[in-house]
Amino acid sequence: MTTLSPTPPAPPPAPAPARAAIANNWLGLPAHFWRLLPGNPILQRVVQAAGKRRRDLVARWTYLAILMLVVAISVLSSGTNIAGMSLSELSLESGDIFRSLSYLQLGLVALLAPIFTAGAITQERDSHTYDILLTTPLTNGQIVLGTLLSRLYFVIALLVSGIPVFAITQVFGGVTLGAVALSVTVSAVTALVTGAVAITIATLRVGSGRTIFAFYLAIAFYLVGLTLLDQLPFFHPVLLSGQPAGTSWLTGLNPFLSLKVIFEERGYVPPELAELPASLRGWPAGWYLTHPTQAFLVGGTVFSLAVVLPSIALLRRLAKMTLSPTQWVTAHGRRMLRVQANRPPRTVWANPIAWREAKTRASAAKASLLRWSFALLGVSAATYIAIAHARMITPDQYVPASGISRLDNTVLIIKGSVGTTYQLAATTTVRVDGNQVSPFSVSQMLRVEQIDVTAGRNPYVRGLDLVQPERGMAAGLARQLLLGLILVEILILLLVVTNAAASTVTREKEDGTLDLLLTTPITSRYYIWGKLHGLVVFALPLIAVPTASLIGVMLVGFFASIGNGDQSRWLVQPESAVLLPVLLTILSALAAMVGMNLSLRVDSTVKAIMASVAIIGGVLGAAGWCGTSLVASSGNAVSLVFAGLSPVTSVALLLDGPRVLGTLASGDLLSGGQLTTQARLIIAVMGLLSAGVCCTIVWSMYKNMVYNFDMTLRRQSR
Amino acid sequence: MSIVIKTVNLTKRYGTLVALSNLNLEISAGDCFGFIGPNGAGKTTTIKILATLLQPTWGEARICDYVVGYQSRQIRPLIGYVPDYFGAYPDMLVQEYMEFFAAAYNINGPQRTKLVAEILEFTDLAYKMDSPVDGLSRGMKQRLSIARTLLHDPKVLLLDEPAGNLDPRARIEMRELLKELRRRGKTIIISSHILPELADMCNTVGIIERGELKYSGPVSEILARTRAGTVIHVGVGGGSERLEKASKLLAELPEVASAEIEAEHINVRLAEGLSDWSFLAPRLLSGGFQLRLLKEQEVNLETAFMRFTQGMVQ
Repeated sequence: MTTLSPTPPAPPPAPAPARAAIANNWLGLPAHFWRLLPGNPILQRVVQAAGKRRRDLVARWTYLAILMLVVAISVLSSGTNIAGMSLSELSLESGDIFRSLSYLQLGLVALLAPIFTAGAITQERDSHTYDILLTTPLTNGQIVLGTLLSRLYFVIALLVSGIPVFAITQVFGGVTLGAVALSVTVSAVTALVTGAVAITIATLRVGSGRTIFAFYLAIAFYLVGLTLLDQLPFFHPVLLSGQPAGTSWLTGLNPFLSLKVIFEERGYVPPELAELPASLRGWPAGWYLTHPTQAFLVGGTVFSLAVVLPSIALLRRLAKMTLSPTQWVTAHGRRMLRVQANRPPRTVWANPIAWREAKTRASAAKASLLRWSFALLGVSAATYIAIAHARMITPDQYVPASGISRLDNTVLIIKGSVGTTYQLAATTTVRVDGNQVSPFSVSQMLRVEQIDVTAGRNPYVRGLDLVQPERGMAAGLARQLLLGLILVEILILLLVVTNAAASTVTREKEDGTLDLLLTTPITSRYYIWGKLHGLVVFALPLIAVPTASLIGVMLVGFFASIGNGDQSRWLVQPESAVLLPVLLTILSALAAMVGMNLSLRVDSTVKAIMASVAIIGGVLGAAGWCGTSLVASSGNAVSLVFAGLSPVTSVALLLDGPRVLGTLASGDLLSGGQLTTQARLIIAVMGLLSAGVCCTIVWSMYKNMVYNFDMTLRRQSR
Repeated sequence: MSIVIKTVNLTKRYGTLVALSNLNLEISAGDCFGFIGPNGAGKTTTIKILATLLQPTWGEARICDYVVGYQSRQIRPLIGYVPDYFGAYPDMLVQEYMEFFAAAYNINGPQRTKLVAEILEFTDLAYKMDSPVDGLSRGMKQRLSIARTLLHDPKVLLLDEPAGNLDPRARIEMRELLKELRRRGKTIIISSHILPELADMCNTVGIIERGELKYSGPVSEILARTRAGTVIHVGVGGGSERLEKASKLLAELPEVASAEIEAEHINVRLAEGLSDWSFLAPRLLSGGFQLRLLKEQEVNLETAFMRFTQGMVQ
């Protein structure tokens, strides 16, 4: 008989881990959120390291020093002893300081945030830690948010450290705490938007120098482009009164415009809800138009979340893709369009270095597409300005082009759609723009300002005051928009050249091709000259776009004025068509030299690009701002001479001199809203001189680079 | 034969690290010099100095009597350098890549296109002329690197690990290409870790360790020095007992210096001066042993390398 062993008792049910988690900490949410943000290892690594880094400390002190300097300059330049000011004067002064500080802070954040966040695009990939991070138990959210916040940490720390400086304005009064908070928040949201976009690019594309460049370009367009587009009446909603609103549809999208609302600059005030037409009063349009600053804060935060969430959702899935989304689209596009991937070989120039810079960069499909898009957009915008300016608006009451008949001695006046013919007498006086002219000399459409007709059975015209009809776009606005367009094009040009130059030597160092070149008979002089030559040739098609835009608008404006007997006034001075390409070529060479210098000295492409863009943007921007402020505040010939030394100011003066000179301009520079011959001469000569100064800087940098080339490379090889 | 490459007390320091210490080398025209040593021994540093990419801390290196560092301009047309990585411009086609470097050597005009076509033909890359450089296989890229160095018909080729990371077929193709170049009279310095291939290609070798040259001279000489006596591997049937008896028998012979059992065979070292081991088989057979193995121990570069180096790195 066999005895069966008794069945062992069933073990007690083990507590399910999930159930334990529910019991212990409410679905594990606190632990999850702790690990997502404060306990995020990526964020902690950066925060802990940041406190020890000397570089961060220096940057923070520099930032605060700049803010303090602005306060000191503002106080000292007030011209009045502060002790002797009344309370209202003090509050006005305080308001001015606050305004300067806010713009400066936002400007610095706009400059620094892309620099600090752009690193996220490539750094993890460059240091090969990206794949390792993806293999850890860290969630997508922890990786994306950790990277985003660690990138923003430095910028937010700067903003917080600047708050005590803002507190100085509280001493004098006139600035509410709410305004200070609003200003700092606008800057913080700007940094958040920038960081979110950078992280999204990093997730969606394989990081490279080009990505950073595209990122800078997008941020530059967002900040500068929208500010310029805001000038167009098209974007300003029309109020019930028939007048355009002070703010526009773009105000709630751009931090600078949002900040402008806080200061109510030059009537930049959002409309009241009651002023809006009924169709715009509903939510969200009504709220958006009446509260643009708040709309920017809410919209910026929501946008940041909206772009970050797909990155969180798709991080690991995208990392598994063998092709980046852009490569996938290109490959499928080629297949669909049956475009052959192969191309015939190009002819290499006698100077292979110049050929490489000028041709191989430009002919890459993506680069070609960008260049053609740039040209197309630039020319389209210029065509719009030219056509809008040339187009005459048909007045309510006017004399048509052939409205005065010598044969019948009559004048046809059209009012609305009804035409009336009046007799002219020998004594009839006709004035055009206030100048008396012979009635029969009128050969263009003119608006009737005033008409004096005799009473009786056979009425005749005693006096007729005619004026030029209004154009679709006034000359001043057309010039202003052209200047804005060309400044944006210059910004893009400089970004492209700086980016190309800054990556040129570092990339060769990184991929090892520099060593190969150095074992050939190519000398450092030949190498650097080749690079400079190639980069300038590469920039020439980009220089052609603003030049063509300028010449197009200038000629259309000129012929339109001749056609209308408008005393053949130039919309833009003709000498600018010669000076602009000269200045742009020299500026491109300068950008190329700065980029190449840093490319040689710095060990990574990303660092070289960031530093070069910051230097070129900072130096040219600061010089331009100083020059423009100088000439606008003084308005005399001496200030014009000094201001003209800044290349950006020179371009601004060439394209829209009357506006840059401003209302304080002396009579010998500005007469009847037009530049005098003396002013034009100074602007032209100083433009050439500034080109000469830039040329000298480029030459000395070139000589210095040639001299130090071997030594720098030798030092780096140690 | 004339000396093409000569280094005298060549030394290179990176800060406190001595990468190369008093290197003295002489390489004659037409030699194929194999440079072997562990990682970090100083091979790449030496080749980079000869390629004019690094300045020696002290000492002198000469190529065709031109001093490296002082007469680099004269040296560059004389050398062709292949680094241990492929320096590629990613956006170029094979022909553009070749023409680019031809232009760097001042080869322009119609002769450039002809020359490029000839060299690509020689290196068996003509059919890849219109292909993007980036899309080539590793072996093809390496051949393209060699093709690049041939554009200006240099006297000296400096090849740093040209066969590194190549598959067996690509390595064999590379070896045949280099043999052909040697036949054409090029002086070649090649560093590699694949020692059997070096033995096949090179007539002289240098062994370097921790920046110091341990040996430099003909391959035949280093093999002879490594050999240090003739060793014969002997195996007999009948198990370990018979092996021990055979070992004792052989040890008693006057022509044998020592006979030691190692695994399943006996290492028989002949007495000094003897290299003829034909007496072994009759003695063992007459002793009643069944002979299973009788083979002279091979001495190759690997053996030499292991003997001359101690596996120490910087």
